[in-house]
Amino acid sequence: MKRILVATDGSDGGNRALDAAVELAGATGAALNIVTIGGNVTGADLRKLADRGGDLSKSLQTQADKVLKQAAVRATRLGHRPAALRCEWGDPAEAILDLARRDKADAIVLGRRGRGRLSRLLMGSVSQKVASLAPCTVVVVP
Amino acid sequence: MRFLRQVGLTFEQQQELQPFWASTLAVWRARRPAVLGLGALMIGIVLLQLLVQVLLNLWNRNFFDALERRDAHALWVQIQMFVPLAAGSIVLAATSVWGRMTAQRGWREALTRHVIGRWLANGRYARLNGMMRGTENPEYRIASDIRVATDAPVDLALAFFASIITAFTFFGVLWTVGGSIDVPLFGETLTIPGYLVIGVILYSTLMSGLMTVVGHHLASVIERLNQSDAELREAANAFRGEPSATAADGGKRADLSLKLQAALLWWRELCWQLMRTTLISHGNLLLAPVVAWVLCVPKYLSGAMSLGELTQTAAAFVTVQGAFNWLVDNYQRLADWRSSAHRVSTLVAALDDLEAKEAAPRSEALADA
Repeated sequence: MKRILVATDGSDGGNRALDAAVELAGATGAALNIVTIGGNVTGADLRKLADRGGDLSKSLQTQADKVLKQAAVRATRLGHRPAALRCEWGDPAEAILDLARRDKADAIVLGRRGRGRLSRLLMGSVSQKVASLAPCTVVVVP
Repeated sequence: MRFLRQVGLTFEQQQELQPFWASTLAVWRARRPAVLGLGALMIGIVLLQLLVQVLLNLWNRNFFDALERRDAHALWVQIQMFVPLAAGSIVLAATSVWGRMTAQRGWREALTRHVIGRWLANGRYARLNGMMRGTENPEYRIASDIRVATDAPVDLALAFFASIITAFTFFGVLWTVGGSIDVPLFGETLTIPGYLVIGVILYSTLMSGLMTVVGHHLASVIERLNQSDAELREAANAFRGEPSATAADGGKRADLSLKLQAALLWWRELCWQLMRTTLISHGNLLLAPVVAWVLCVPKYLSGAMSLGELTQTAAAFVTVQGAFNWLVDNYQRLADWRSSAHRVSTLVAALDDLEAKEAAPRSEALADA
């Protein structure tokens, strides 16, 4: 195993996936790439931003950079410095699969926690979709 | 009144739009006879349409009165009267479309030619890109934003004028035909004069207030969506002339995805905002005629109002209520116009800047001579 891709959004579920990925990378000696899929914004946040004329792209980028930075610090503290930090946009499952192909990842690690209940019902969970379509091993961390 | 502030223009926003209005005035002055002629024609059409609307309102009353009396001859006369009224209304509506679109086309053509002329002069188009923030995609601003910026004001101004005169005219109908109503109160009788006028004002205030509360984010969300769409175009435009490998691997690809994500998030929020405002607007569509009937029914049941007067006043009530809704009905278009006019203004301001820089060395050379 040469390269592991771990997806996180900075939540508890994402952190658990990161911890597991660090452990796996440590055990196999693989390089660790961390990815976050940006764009997780609530309607209330958008309305606030609209009223004060804020720049959404900038806010999204800042938010994603913060998640990646925190993940890098956490991985380093756990003993494995990440090889690359990636930020992707759009449908999370599609973005993770696309990046796994581009980075030639041997394993994808991600948390089980998905979107809200309604979205999950309508579109299926990210982990289910990634596990079904990934070209490599997928580890879903509960 | 936060919503009104959002839809209306602050002093700073008016200043931002100053280059747009300055260019517009310049092209209008050059075509003064056509502008005045079309303006007079459109105002005339609005006044004639109001006249037809009042006559149709009266016709409504006479028709239902004849129906109530079961008077076949009077009904036949009313049906004969309806034909020229309907024909007049149809001809005026078609003429109004011609007048509005001719004015919009003329304004768009003049302003577009004016801006293109300045943009192409002295090779400014080559120096403009990226000179200042907000001047990206000048082609799009010229082709699309000028269209929206010149299209909406004609429709909005005419609709506003029509709403004002319609509201005042039909206030008269409500006041005279609706008359007063006697309300028993603590053993006394309270007479409310022009109660339907009071009713329509209260009802419209309630509906506008509800819409204000529910949709007060809408204008700013539309503006942010328009801005995001413009940034997405700009991000896609950045690939032009790039070697394929560099373009695909570079940060431009990530930027394009980010801009798409932002535009889609604003679109999602617009969907929620429109759902909320639709709850009120559709509710109002169903409720307004019912409220009008309910307010008129006591007088009808007491015999103080005929069936014709009942239908006439109910129709007048709905007409006035509709006129009051001008702002609520049009704020999406106002927000679109504001975004486009702002983008045209930024382009014109950049051209002003370039012209000033070109003129400066010439002035210095003349002073030296």
